[in-house]
Amino acid sequence: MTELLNILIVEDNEGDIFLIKECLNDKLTNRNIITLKNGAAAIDFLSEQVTLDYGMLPQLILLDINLPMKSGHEVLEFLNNHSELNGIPVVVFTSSSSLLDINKAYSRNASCYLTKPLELKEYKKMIHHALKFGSYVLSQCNPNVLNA
Amino acid sequence: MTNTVSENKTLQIENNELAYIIHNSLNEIYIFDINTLKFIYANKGALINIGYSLFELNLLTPLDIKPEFTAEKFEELIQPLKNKEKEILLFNTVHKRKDESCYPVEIHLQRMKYKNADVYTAIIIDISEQVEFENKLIETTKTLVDINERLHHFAATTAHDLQEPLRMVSTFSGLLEMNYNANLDDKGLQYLNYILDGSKRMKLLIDEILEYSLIDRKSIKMESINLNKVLTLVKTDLNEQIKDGNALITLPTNDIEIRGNFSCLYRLFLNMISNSIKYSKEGLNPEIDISITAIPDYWMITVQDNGIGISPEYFDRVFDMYVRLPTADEIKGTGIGLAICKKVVDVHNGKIWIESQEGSGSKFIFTIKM
Repeated sequence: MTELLNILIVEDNEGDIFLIKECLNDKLTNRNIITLKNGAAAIDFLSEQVTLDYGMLPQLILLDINLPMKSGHEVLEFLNNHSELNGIPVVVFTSSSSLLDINKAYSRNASCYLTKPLELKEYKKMIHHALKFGSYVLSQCNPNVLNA
Repeated sequence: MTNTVSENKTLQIENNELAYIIHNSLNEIYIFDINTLKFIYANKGALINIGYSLFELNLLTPLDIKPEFTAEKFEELIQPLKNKEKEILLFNTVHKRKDESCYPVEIHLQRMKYKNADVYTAIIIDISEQVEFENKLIETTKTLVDINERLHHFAATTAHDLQEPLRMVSTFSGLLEMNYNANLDDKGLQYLNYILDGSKRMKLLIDEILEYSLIDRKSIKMESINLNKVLTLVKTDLNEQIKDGNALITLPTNDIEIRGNFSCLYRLFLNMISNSIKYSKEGLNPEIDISITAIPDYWMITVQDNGIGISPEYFDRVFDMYVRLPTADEIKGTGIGLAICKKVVDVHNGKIWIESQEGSGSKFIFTIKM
């Protein structure tokens, strides 16, 4: 498995940011984690990376749905509409278990939808699985397109 | 036989007295000509309510006091009376008084002979009060449905919003335990355990409240369901609990299709069977028997166990939210499981009740509308 280098976390809850990073730190040493706290910032960042000739394009996006400025759904919509970006695996990681949100996310081509669990053990498991998934996608892709 | 003079006189007096009653009745009585439709007679009740004098009415027809009818529509309406197909017509409409105000009426229309001519007679009941009550009822029902919906939404939203801070408590306590347990003495670790245990229990509570609030008549989809399929799934999902408790579960021998909501019924049986295993008697392997029979209009399902039983004084209360039996003190539970069962039965238009004695097992019986 290719070791993941660039990970984008889009999350506004401080506690969840800390937890996600803790869980990611477990597994990786050589990584670049960028955290953005609202949907608009995420969209701006991603647009920038495209124009900068794929500079720091993430290889996995962990995306919350309930975000200030622009929601996770809007970020998904943005990713979906850009051919340079719609190949990036997006794991939706949110507290909402509403069918509406789930269907909406999948209709915008989210790679998978995970509901934030209440226990640490489960939490770790989910983040590790998300990582594994991202690594797998990377190993299957054309390295020239995604590697920095 | 001819009547004697005195018999004639009696008949005349009786006729007069009957006429007096009819004339003074507060129900409206009208007589109108079969051809011109002009009013020939109206009793006191009619004159009082409609506002016209008899003299004025003689110049009017029913069309003048019935704003909902055109001449054609009225012709159409009285056809069955005209061609003697029907003896009486019953219909509702609105009457307009002389002062233009209107009131809802129920009309009984017949064709009769009066002074040797064919006439229509109408007996009319002013149903203003009934209509008002009906409207009030509709209004109240609407309000109740609205309140119920909002309560549901409130419970669901609250349960959902409570999850986030709980997640913080739970996950960070977990982190503390994982990364700092070397730094904590026994007491410290015990405190941490209480925190973790508390948050686990709260998670269970929130999940069940959410579950309860989501069972709602409007959002439930009914379909044809194979009962044994539901029960087999429940058995599979409870496999660990069944093995640990050495429980024996007997499913019904007959294979029945019922009309209901799959996930609600799954939840009902899951809660019930889980309870029967949980509240088993010390030293006795739990045995649970499920059977189903048909009664008029309903399926009747029985879940019988050999557990600790329920004292009759609690039969009603156990289905309330958060109620737990004092005999079940050491056993973990939220008190919501049976409330969910009752709600599911309600939504399936059935009833649920218990037959039990403390110490000698419990029988849960519930019905589901066919």
